[in-house]
Amino acid sequence: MEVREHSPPPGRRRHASAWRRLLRQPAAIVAACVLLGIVTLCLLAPVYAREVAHTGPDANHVTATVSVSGRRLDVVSPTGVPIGPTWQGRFLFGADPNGRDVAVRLLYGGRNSLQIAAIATLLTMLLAVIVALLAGWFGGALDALLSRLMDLIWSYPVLLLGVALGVTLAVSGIDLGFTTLKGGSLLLPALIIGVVYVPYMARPLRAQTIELARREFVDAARQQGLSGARIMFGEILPNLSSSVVVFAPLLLANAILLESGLSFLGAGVQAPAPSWGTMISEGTRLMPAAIHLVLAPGLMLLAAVLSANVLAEAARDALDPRGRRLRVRPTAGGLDRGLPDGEPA
Amino acid sequence: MSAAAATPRAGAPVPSPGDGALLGVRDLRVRFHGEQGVVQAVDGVSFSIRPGEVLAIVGESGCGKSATALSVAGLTREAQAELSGSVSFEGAELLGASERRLRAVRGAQIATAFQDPMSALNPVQRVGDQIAEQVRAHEPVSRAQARARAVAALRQAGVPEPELRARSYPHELSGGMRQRAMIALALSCSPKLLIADEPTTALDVTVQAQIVAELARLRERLGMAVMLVSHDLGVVAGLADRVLVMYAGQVIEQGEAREVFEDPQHPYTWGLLGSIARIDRERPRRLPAIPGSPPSLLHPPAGCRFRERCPHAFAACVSPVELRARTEHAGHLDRCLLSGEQKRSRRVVEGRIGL
Amino acid sequence: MMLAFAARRLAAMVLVLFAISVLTFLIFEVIPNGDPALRLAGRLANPQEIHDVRAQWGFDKPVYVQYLRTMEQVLTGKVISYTQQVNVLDEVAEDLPATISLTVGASVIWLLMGVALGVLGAQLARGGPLARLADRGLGALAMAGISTPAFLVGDLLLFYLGYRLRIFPLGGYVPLTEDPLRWLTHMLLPWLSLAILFAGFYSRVLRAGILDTMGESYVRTARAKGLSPRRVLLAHVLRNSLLPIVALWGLDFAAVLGGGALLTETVFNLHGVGQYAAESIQRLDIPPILVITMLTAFLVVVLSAATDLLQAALDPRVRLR
Repeated sequence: MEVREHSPPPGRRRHASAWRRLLRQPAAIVAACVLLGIVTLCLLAPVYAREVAHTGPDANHVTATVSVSGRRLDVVSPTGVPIGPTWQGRFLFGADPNGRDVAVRLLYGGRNSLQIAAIATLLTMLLAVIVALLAGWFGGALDALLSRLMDLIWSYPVLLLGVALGVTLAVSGIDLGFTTLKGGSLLLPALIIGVVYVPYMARPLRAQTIELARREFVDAARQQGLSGARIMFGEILPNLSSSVVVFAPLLLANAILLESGLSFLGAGVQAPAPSWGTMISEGTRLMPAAIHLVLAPGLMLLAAVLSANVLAEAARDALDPRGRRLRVRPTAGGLDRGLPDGEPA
Repeated sequence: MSAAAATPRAGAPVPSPGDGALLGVRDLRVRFHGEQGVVQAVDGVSFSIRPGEVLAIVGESGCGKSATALSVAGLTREAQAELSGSVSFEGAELLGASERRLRAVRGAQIATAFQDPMSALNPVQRVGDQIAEQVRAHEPVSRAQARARAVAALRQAGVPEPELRARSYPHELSGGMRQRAMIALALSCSPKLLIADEPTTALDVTVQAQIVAELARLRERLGMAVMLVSHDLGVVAGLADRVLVMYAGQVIEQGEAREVFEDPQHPYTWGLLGSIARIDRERPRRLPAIPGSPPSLLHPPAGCRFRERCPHAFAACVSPVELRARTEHAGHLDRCLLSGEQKRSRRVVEGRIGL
Repeated sequence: MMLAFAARRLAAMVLVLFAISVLTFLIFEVIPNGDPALRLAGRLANPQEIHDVRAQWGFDKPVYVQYLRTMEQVLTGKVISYTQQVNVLDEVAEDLPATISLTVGASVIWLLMGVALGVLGAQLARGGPLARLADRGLGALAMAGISTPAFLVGDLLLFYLGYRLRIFPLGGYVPLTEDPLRWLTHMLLPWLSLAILFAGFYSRVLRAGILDTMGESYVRTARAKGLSPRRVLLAHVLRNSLLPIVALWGLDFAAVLGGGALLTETVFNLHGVGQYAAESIQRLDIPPILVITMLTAFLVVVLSAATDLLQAALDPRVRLR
């Protein structure tokens, strides 16, 4: 049909209208609330531990008993089977074989998982933007070098690379020059995840940078005698911002997933520190006896990743200029396609 | 039908399909429900086509001419579209007809040659197979016979080496060749009505002329009726028996081709005529285009829809203008309130017709 | 053209394998993670024994010598595990059937599920309000599938269908040649847990592709030709919107070998290559890791070339590069 929008709104109004579109999607609002709720809960872990559960994340209660609706029950049975959910303050989601409170560990573990994922996401975004700007702007040998490096990381299976790095670094720690990360540090998995996902984001951003560098407004900036750095960060970077916004929740979801995978294989968060992945891993080993050890962290993880993914899709819908056509045109599912391209402000 | 109330049509002399008309369209309305509201793409269009006649529908892009043409064979039917009025083909109603019934008509009785054959032909199917597919959909022929028919159709449409071209993919053909293949596809089942939607757009001028000549030749030979949709009155000039000028979803002028070209009544038609690049005349310094752009069909203006772009508009243009005969020719209708005298004097610009 | 394509891909493959082997070696060698000689010699070894082991395995040589030595062993098929002192290639060959069963089966399942759900979703999306609601439900399901780690799905399937309802065996692998029926029952849950992740993703990609293609001009041409809706969908819409899915499939199939398979095989104790890799990593045993990573990377390159060939065969516009 020849039905088409007549004048696309100018770039200045784009972000405002993107926000409006984002807020029009009820799923996005629900997802944001769920994610915020989970984050808040996990941040309140010490409060919950002290005020409700009256125990800490690493405190053992193997020989203790707990009273559930009038009956005294062993926290861990003589045969080593931990108690299931009591649905009350103490041992809300039951105990693990060490007699630790699962609900408390769930919140502390969530704090670790989310912290790692958040740091990894920020690290990926930072590195990816730098790599994309340098490669896309300078081109030539630097572009070739960075692009091959990205290809190399990309062709290395993500989980295998993460696990390999995780295991080796867990033993030795790493010296970053300005600071040293010890083997058990939570920053190690964050660092690994952050690096592993850089190509995922850097490659599309590089393509976008190259495309932007050919636009008139960059030419104009160049003729005004602005330095390369000024143009890169002052002119091009703001135009990449919408892509970066779309990537953020997507990276967060994938970082949480990768952290759990690494921890599941013993290459992420190291015992006794809890994380959702290590908790699922421990539960798997005790499999038929105590499914609550898998269910509690598993459902929490699912809720967090699902809401981050829903947010990512909503952000993509809102920022995708193709979504504004009159014809019902859905967005593409793949990350490699359908990225919103920057418009000169 | 809230939009209908704003457009009085009682008493407007709508040409009836009459006896022997192949196609009769009466008060066709097409509305699309989009994200931003309802678009009235076609707003009460009526016309008829006799067997073997060439009717041209002309207007700028977005004026509803394609939506009109596509609605005839029900190709605008989709969840967001709303159609009303009547389309009768050989006396049978098509607008409310079942999809099954329409399918038998599409391709066999009413065939459509779309614009931009690069995207209108399936990129991953050989040209010959695309034609054979249509033949087999309508006639009980074998694969080999259908393939032979496809080659014959290509030859008929003036494609050189048709056996070879039938095995080509669309992207392997030149623009003119693709358009000929598209026409071959449309004509392969010998339809009674060919709808040619912008058949020469995106082709260079010499190829355009070839395609127009080809269409004229084929029409002559096959005797089918043609509905020619174009934004270019120049393309239409040599072919059309009658012309329908559309603007913002409405017909603003219609009549015999000779009358519309020699005695155009509506300033919009003047503008279209003024912007024809004519090969037989010296080019003016600058090809005058009609300034401005058509109004949004989300909220079409009341009164004459061309008012805002028309240098001759006056106070009365604010109220609705009906489509009726305003010259001595009963079949020549228009929607302009200027007097015949005013029209004759104002449409001459630099010795030729223009806005 | 074909020859140039093969040559280019072969060169790229050699380069990638070289780079990946170096990277793997560096990760385990440059990052100081304890002397492998200590582990090989055993806990009760005296310094002389440790020294002997070091000299025997060449751990006292410079890194590049060690790399070349290991690579020579890999390429001649004589690579020995540091911790178990068995031939790694034999071990991998023994584990390969389980992994191939897992990945091939799962990828076929997710492709079929993805196509079925994608077509269904696209049909529903173009229907009335109730159908569109159902489509949104499918979308939510797919999203949940994408958001669930394979090991969680595996755990839950194993617990409820294995331990609780006793419908399926509790993990382990039975070779196809030994007992096809038991092979099937042992593989079904692993297949499902691996496939759910991708089926959701594929269904959404295909749904979007179908809806995009439905708006294409050539689909309108197909309708104008008087074809039945079924024919339009199969020959014109699906034919074109499946093209990107084919590309995705080839790449994901390879990626699963170094990702989802590790986790799924561990959950279901399939004794596949992935589980072997996971265990070797935990033992800091470089040779198996090196071999498996290179094997995976090799498959990634080969499959991406195969995918390109398939793409070119399906889409006449694609030129092989």
